[in-house]
Amino acid sequence: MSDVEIPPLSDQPYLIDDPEDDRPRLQGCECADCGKRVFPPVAVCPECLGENMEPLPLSREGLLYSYTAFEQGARWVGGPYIAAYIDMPEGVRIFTHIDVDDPGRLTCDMPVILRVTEPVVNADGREVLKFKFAP
Amino acid sequence: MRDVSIIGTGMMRFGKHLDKGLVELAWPVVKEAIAEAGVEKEDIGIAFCGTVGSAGIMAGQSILKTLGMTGIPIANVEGACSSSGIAVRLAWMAIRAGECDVALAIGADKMNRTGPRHAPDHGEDWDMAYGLAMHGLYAMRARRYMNDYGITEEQLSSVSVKAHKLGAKNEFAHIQKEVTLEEVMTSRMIADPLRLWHCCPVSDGAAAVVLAADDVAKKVCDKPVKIVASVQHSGKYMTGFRDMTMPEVTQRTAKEIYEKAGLGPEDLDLVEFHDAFTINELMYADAIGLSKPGEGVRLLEEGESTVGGRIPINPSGGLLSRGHPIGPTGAAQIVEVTRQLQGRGGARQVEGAKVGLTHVTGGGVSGLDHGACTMHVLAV
Ligand SMILES: [Zn+2]
Repeated sequence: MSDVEIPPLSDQPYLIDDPEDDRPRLQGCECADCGKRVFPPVAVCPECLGENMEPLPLSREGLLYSYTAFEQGARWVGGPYIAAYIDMPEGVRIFTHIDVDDPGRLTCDMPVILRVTEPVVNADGREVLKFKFAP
Repeated sequence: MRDVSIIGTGMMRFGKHLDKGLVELAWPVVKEAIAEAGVEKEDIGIAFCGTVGSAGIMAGQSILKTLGMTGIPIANVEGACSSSGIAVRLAWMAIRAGECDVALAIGADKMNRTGPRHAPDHGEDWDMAYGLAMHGLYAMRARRYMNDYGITEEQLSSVSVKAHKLGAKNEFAHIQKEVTLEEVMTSRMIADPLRLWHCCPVSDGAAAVVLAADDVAKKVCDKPVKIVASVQHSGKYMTGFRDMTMPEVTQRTAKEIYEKAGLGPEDLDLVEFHDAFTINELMYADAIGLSKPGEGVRLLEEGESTVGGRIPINPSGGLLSRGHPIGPTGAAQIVEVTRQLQGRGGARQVEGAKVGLTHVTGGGVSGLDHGACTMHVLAV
């Protein structure tokens, strides 16, 4: 489905330059009213419907919950690529890609770290992902 | 509220039907279901068509006008793979509510026209936009399940061997041939650990079910099959961690349907569930309560989940063999269980079956276990 439009997934930035150490990090959000945490940032809290979502910078390291090496991936991304769910210490789970030459190195629950890469570009030349995680 | 029974079924062989349009595929199964029901087409008071829109909008109207059946309320229902399971449920609800006495549920789609459609492709869904195709979602479940419970690739592959052994006896199956363990284990990798033979084929097809209020059903049908309970849910939105080896929407729907039906997994004679990939058979057996968590594989290895065993799972060969045209899958399961309970299961008949369960999930949405899950308990 190469005609799929990919609008901005969030109207707030989810990949930021951390002024403290000048390196990028991911940013989710936290509800100022009930504490619900969401990634990527959203405008309304899915728990209490409050609209006071505040930026929540995320750790750079998370745990690899599960992963798969796609030989044949989603048509609008192409392939092959390694997809994964990463569990972050802040309590949110992130779907992303893994940057590793040999997927045989990966195991469930291993620590992985944020790596800002050359954007993953699909067959239409569109950027689909600006970051990955790596062991 | 009134009890509702299934009085007519229509089914075709799923497969790659490139030479036919959706209407052409679907009208014969609707005609068959009405003929089998012993009612006139004018008796149908409402119709629901489960489809993911592979032939555009207004599928139900297009199919039914071919049989001169428009003029009644017709609703097209989309719930990804659960679409026609939901259509049957809505028909059941309409009769129970007294809207009409007889209702029709159809499922129809052509996946070879659009490619599989089972998740939001509007670009606003994070997981989907970044490349989480459905086979990858199940591959990640498989990875975690195998990790947590020590399941081997050989064990996972034997699900496919069993499914195709049964599917080889099903005249409606897309794939009607047996497959060896070696063939499964050496087939092309799709999304590690899932290989080609771990995945259902991309199919086209249609299925239909006619339902009636019990008082009508008894008059027109020799062997109506009662819908004992029907439950549908959407997955809960979870932004945090969730156990992907125990799909919450299936577990929750199963718990509720057992309560409503007044029975438990031990009372079932057969199950048709959503085995789009091999891992599903192990994971869903656990979630539906046929096995303890992590022990679904035992049913397989001890021969309990095949025809002749204690609890046959997918005697039709399931989605792995019958195919998965998305929209019609839920209705096809209900057709299979209905005919089994009527003793019309042919070479794959589960002897003496009185109570059957169908289960179909649907749709990958970020943060949800699944977009939809629909279950029915049928009995004679
Ligand atoms: Zn809140």
